[in-house]
Amino acid sequence: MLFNSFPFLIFFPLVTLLYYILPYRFRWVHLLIASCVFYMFFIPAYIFILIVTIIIDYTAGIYIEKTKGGRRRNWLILSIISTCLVLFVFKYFNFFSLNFEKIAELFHLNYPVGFVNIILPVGLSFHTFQSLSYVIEVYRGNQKAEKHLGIYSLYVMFYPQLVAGPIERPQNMLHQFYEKHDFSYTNMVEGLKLMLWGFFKKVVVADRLSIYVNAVYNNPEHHTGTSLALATIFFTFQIYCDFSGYSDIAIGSARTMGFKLMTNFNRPYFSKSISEFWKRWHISLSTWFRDYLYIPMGGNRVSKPRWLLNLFVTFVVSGLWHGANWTYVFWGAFNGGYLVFPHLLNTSSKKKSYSNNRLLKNSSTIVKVGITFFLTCFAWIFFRANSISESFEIIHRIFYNHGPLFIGDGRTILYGVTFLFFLLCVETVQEYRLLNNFSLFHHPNRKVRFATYICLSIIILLFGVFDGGQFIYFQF
Amino acid sequence: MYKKQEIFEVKKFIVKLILLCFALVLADFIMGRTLKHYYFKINSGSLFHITFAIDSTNAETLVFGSSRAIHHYVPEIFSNELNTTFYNCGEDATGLIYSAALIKAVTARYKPKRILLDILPFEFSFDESDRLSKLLPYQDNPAIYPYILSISPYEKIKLVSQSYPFNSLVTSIISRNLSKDKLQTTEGYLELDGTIDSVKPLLSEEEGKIIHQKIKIYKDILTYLNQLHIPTYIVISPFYAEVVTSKSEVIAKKYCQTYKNVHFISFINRADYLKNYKLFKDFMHLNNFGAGKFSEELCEQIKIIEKKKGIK
Repeated sequence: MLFNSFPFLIFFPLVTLLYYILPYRFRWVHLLIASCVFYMFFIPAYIFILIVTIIIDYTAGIYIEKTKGGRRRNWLILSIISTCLVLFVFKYFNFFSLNFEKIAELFHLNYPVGFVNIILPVGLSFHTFQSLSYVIEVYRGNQKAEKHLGIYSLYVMFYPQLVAGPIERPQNMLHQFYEKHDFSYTNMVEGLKLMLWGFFKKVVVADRLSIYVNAVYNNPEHHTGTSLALATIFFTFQIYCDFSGYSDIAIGSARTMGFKLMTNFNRPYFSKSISEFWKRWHISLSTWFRDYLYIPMGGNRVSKPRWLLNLFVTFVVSGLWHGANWTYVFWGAFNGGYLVFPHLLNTSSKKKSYSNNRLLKNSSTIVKVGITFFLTCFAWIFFRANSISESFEIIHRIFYNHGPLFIGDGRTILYGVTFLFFLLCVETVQEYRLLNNFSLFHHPNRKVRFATYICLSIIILLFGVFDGGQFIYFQF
Repeated sequence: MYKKQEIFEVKKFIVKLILLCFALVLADFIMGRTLKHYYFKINSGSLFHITFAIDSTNAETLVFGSSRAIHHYVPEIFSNELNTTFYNCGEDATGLIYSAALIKAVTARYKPKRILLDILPFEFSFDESDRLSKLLPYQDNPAIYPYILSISPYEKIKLVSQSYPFNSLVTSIISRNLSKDKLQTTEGYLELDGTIDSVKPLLSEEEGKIIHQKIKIYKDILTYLNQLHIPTYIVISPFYAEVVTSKSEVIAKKYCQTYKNVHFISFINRADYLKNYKLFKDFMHLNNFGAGKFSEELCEQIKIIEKKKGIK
């Protein structure tokens, strides 16, 4: 079920209402059933994939805790391999098969393996990573194995974060399913506010910008560099509003039931460096890769070349996690390169500016934010383009093929830019704590808050794109 | 069971939620009614063109279809050649379902002498459900309402909102109401100048899945027009391509043969149009020169058919 679909408007209040009406001991059953229904709205049969991974990792968790020495390790390996195998079969098999076929062609060899025609289960990468974090944490001794199969299933399947995260850790989530959440006015209101803001980001900004982005990126050969540059900037904001909007709705809907999910985005486009960007963008995935790939590879406690390699590999794998396409690998490699390259040139020394000149400081911040934004935009070209060759064609056109700007339906640019500007104003105030931290959502005057909810709802009704379709990250 | 504090918080939340819902419904009502009032006051531009087609046109010959209809059918040529009054009811980014809704709305008002329905080369594989929002402001028209319901299964509930039908139309309504433009007299036709930039023909094979719901709508509208005894011409106007393989063309032709008053004319594989970039503005649209040539040739064919059938 999509958050921005009509069934969710019925599903959400019903599930939340029942959650509070039901006695505490039945709540986990209710949430588990609701989560199954939520997932089965996509392709019902794929629930069996989830059931299989749940059973494997649940069993592995118990045996990892029970056994010692090599057997413990074997259980962990078994769990990781089987979970990754599911991911490989559904997500990467065709990608690798196609590439092996091309290599075989190059050497005039016969490659008999065919193409498997399967649809990728929604959010597969998210729930497999959440399952993996559980078995690894149990192995590390940071988390006790969950004995209750229902609660463990809920940890993997909890509907707000089932299909696109945030990718939670067992230490943060599992205990919350045992806690009795009394109805809290604050939780309910704060959750709903977050959801409303998430809907605004997704339906009004992201889906509006996507109309222009799709029109240009789906036919790059028919568009000038000017249009492609604008579409790239739009995509930079589209993907942010799409995914952070999803996260806001997920965190908000969990909050209405008293659950606290981790923050996934922290105004990433205000970052002053690429490393800061990755601390603010898709935080649950960045920290996942940090904790379960980068640090186990040695992190930065190794020789410099090895450290830089660790960093680069982590980003390439992160790119591949997003999708089975070279475009994502390039995107990951670019981001890894952004971090590695300054260290190779020894230009990344952290010189602290002690200047008291406010103007100088502000200018420096603007320049740094601008450069980071430009680099991020550039990498997004690879993420959005349909192929690597198309990515390079787009870059070439942006730099060398200037011409008239494609307008299309003028409303797309007008509405997209207007509401993007509004969003950026709100985020600028939050980021730099301007106007005494002014917030319409948290204004001391009740009438102002009330008017804000109504205005935002009317804006969604009047300017939202209701046939915008699914969230970009669902495909991962 | 529930603590006192919890009950207090539940009550507080419910009261505020009811208040909020009430205010929201009121705001939506006021906003929706205001937009509706000003929407139907518009007297120029593309929104007026739809309203005029539905509520006011009384031309003898009408053409329905997408942007291809708007840019391909030159009214003067039809008026002169067929000795008729003519109005072009085509609308950008639409397809068969939109045209069917308009045909039903217009024919509920009066009986035109003939109807031309321009369908897309790949009409039956073109998913139009997200293109029908242009019909939403006309939900009160009983002929159009059933087509609105085909947008999604939840459309009936969505239409409880008074503002929803005017989604994405706010700036157009404001600008058109402020505009000093007078009623345009182009009979709905908009000419395109210039020739196609790229001369590389587009992929011309229909690859999409056939949408059976659209075939059903197509059959229904043909049956309806046949019963009204309105001579109807299903036309596929020219398309810039090497050669076109269209499943939709086969389907459209097949159903036309079963009705006495319905005739099928396709231009998509005519040698003088294929790859002839001088006649096109882009892959899908003829320029004014191409539109003139097409209109004349179509008129000739209509005259031959009508002569054969003895239609006056």
